[in-house]
Amino acid sequence: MSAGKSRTRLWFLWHSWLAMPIWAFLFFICVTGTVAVVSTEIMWLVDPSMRASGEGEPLPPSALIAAAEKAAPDGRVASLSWGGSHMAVGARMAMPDGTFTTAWINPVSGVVQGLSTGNSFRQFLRALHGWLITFPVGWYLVSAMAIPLVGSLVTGLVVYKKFWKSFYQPRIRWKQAPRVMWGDLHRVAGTWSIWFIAVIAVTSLWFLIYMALIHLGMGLGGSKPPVMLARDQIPVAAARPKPDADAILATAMATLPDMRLRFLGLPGTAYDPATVIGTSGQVPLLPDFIRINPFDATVIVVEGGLDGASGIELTRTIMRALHTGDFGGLPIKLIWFAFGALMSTLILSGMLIWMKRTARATMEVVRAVKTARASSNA
Amino acid sequence: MTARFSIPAAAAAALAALAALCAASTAQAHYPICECRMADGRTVVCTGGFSDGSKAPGVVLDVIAYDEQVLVKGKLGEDSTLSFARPAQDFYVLFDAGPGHTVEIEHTAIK
Amino acid sequence: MRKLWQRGKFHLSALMMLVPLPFLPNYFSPKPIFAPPEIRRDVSAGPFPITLITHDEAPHRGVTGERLKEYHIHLRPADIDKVRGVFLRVGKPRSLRAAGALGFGNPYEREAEVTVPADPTGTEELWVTVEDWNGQVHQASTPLAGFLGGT
Repeated sequence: MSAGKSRTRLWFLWHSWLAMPIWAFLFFICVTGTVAVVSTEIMWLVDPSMRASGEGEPLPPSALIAAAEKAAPDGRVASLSWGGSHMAVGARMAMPDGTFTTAWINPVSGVVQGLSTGNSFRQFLRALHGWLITFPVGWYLVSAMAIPLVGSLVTGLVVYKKFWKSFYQPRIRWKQAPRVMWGDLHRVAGTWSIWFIAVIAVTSLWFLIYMALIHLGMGLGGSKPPVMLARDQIPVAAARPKPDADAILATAMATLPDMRLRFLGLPGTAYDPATVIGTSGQVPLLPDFIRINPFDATVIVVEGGLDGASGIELTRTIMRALHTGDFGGLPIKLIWFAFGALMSTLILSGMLIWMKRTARATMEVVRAVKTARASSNA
Repeated sequence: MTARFSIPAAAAAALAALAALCAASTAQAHYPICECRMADGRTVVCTGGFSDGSKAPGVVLDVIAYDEQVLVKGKLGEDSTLSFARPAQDFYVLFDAGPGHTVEIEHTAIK
Repeated sequence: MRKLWQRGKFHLSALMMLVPLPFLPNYFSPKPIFAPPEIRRDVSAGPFPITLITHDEAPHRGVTGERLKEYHIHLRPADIDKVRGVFLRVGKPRSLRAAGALGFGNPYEREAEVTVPADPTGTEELWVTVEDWNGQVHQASTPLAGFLGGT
């Protein structure tokens, strides 16, 4: 065996051993992550109360708030979330027992189509995928998988030197023995998802670093303090003046006319501003936050976008968007879903190949090394 | 995430960061922090910030005597710090990021 | 047995999927199932009767090492729109500006993270400051002893 060949073989063993002992866990993360990408869409498919036709003039927020508060007695709307023209608007309501309930409202007819409490399917999948619902231990366990992932990618490319061939000559021998078929599939799927694995590995590594930095007490927040109203900006009244959601939204839309509306948060306390969040066309990855004085509907500050964001904020937002594929609507999500599925296949096929081959290959190398040692000692 | 759980600040900050779109509703989970020390024999340096690591440029920091007379009416600089000559009388530092978002530091704690 | 180990050892990481299981019931319940017992205190700040609730567990550490304790503030539903803010502080506030931690979240059950002394002497008082929408301020206090939890 030539030196080059045996080096390749060692790389190959590295490639196998990096993933094999943890393949099932990796596979689990990969599958849950893949599903999490389209979790909103799944909820939309499963739950009719989350759907909207997308036709007609959308109602102003005040009408949505009134409808939600009528459907849940004594509930108080804290925020509205828009998911697009085909989605019902979610109204998050504070309930008298201290919990929160979400009302799903048709944005055109104002009909409350359903109420849901507690964590949604989407949040559950995120929690399961991101931190095994076990914070922060699960977070570290999951994000640490970025390291073998990077290793698998690098060693895989070293082993399969002619990987670029799979781009223009993808070959999968479906009718051959399963080992051959899985091997072909592994190489082709691996080649085509190089960019995706790199994106996922790097962003996961960021999540690991991010949490470690937080726990080490390093500053990770933005450069800007939270926005609050001073006491002398708050009117004196017999009772709480109800914030005018329509005026707040009108101010926000006048400030950023091209913005796609995503969220309207009413003030959490008397000293908080109202917040409108949306995405304007120019910087698709970065949401805009407009803080508005709820009492006179004037803009206090516009945050987000590229202006004034600190490096760490930009990194955080971009890394998250890249990891989840949630930055360009449904087409991007479907691409992320497809490659997530491909990556899951990669892990599964890698395991199958290993079971059939690598165990033997390792034995051979171990034996070869022993023989070489024995002969050099002689 | 149920509201009743007392999650550690770091966790709250991280979860808030993750739920970028829900950031507005969890913004309250950041509480102000402030530390003051003697830079030399006479000058006090105070550094303000927030529990999520946010900086606090431009946030009010007043030095107030025990009889409530304001001795120094200040704002943190771009580096989130403020320096002032240590008053001779008893005083406390009030880092004031808004109603309910304050930190008080007694002069006896500034060394 | 040995054969089972040889064959199964590389699938052992599948056991990681068991990690979330014990946390699932709590996760899906709108209120924590295994929460520690509650300690309640009733106070009256001017015209506003208030129930303060905290879990019977020790204060936790903040990012700079300070001790923080979470209290839940229950107003009468009829008072919710009359009250601008409820502030909690250990020791009598020097001024309205320094009234302490602001209750936030669900208006029916505001929560406040209060800085508490690391070594309480046992004589401290927890002060409740209510600012109403008229701008008037009402105060009340209750001994901190027995209301810190975890002892």
